[in-house]
Amino acid sequence: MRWLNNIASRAAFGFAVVWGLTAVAVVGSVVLARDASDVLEGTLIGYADDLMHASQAQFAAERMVAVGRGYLLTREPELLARAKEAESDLDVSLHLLDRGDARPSERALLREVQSSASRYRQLLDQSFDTTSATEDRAARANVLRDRLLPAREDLGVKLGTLVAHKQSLQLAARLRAGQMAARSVRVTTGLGGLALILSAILAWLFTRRLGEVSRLERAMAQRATRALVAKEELLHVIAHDLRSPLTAIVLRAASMALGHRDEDMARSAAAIQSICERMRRLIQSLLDAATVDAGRISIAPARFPVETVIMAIMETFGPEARSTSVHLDWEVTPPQLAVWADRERINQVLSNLIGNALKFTPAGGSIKIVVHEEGANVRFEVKDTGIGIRPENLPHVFERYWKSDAQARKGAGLGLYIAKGIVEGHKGRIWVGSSPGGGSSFQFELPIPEMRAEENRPSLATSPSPVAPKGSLAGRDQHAHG
Amino acid sequence: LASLLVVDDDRDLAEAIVTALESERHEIRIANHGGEGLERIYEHRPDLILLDVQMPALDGPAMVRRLDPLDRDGSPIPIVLMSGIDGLATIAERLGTSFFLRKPFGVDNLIHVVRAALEGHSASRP
Repeated sequence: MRWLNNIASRAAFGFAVVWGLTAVAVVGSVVLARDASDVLEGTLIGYADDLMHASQAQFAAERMVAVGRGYLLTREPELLARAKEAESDLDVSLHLLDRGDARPSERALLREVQSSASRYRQLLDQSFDTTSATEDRAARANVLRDRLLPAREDLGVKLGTLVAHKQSLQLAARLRAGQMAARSVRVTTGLGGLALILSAILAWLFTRRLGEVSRLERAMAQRATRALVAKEELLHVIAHDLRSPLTAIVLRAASMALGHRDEDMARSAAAIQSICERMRRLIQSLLDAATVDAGRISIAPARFPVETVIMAIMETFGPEARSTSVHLDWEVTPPQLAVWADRERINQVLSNLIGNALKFTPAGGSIKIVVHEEGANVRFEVKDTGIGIRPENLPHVFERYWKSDAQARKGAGLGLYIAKGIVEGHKGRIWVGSSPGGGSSFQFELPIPEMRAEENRPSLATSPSPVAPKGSLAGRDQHAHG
Repeated sequence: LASLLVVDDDRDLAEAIVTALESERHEIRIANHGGEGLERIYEHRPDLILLDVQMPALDGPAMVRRLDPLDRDGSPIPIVLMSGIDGLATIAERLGTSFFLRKPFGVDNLIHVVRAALEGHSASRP
């Protein structure tokens, strides 16, 4: 079972790895996708801003020329103010174009734009100053236009270059964002697929492994069953071969006892017969135990009154109990209680229990068989006032070949094992309660099958004695009860 | 006084049965397997057969089946089956006899069943 646990823990580990991979894939792809969308949004906004600022700058430069010319022609101070206003607009636009995150190449182009702009403003200011003395307004305006236009064109070109450059940078950024998005999809798909494949492999591996385990277990169980059945069959063969010579010994001993008037010889012959009887019981026990081992105990159930089997038991064990001064008594409530079971087998169980009780109950003690209904079961109890069982031995009494120290000299230690097998063959259960010096109480319960439950209720109204013991047993009923 | 045939592959048991039945003063023959049993029956028709179930070559039930045709003209020979096999009662019933001895059996049982079978009583459960 330990290596099965290993499989379980390895499976848990494997699936943890798969889940980890899946989690990393999900988190990674979320991060990548978010980055990509940030970049995309940033570049789009930046691009629109730059275009706007550049066109505002050009517009301001245009206004400077137009308003400047107007001022030179009219000398209106208001026009001069507007020219100055356009100048500051140009400054603002250029300043806005100069963003903090600009790259070196961008910055160089920006500086060129700025120097071109300052040259332009210088030229404009100079023309306002130098031309103030000259009176020919038209000439002044023409001079202004001739000197300023190339500078303005230069500024326009520089601005155009800057915007184009920014545009190319933004395009690159957009491409990068696209690549990131694509990569995030690739990473997600890849890791997810990997996790899927790994989990499939793991599932396959462990399914196969567990299948192997259960197959092995089945094979082992089959082998064990086959071995037990083989053992049972072998025992049957041996038992058959043993029974014939045993019969021969029994018959010879009987002939010996009859043929001789010698008392010693007769005693020996009787002893041989009782030894043979022990051997017969031992062979039967070995066979029954092997049958229980092989799980092939045969149960031929029929409905019978509990009292009939108790009568048979009393008949068998009454003389022995009397000879050892043990009071053997019984009680069945209600008296007509019937069970659905194999009568011979139940007799065997009770015989084993009573036989044990007699072995361990000293003279003057008592043994009582109590049978009553207990819910959906019929409960049998055999309690004695014997020496009891030590607590450490209690869990073992139903094991095969178990013997108490006191019992070690006789019996095979199979009686309780067989009793358990028979009771369990009836789908019942058997247990024991005992304490050293306080006697023992062996109990077993047989289920009343539901279909039979009604049958088991004694119907006193319709028949006064529905299950009276029959035949020769009836006569001994009262006698044994007393 | 009756004539009995004991058919059992265990010679010790067959002879022990002969000894145990001495007091009954029957004339008893022995056969060690079914084939020999049939021979003995041809030679001298017995009044009762004590028959083992499991024997090499020709077993008890097979011997009884071969015996059946012989019985057509007369009444069948009563048979007592002897075995330690499970389901002995069923085997006996199938062979049409209600007499059987479960091995190992005692001398009292043996005498009781032999008497009952000879007298033709049906209730003979040992």
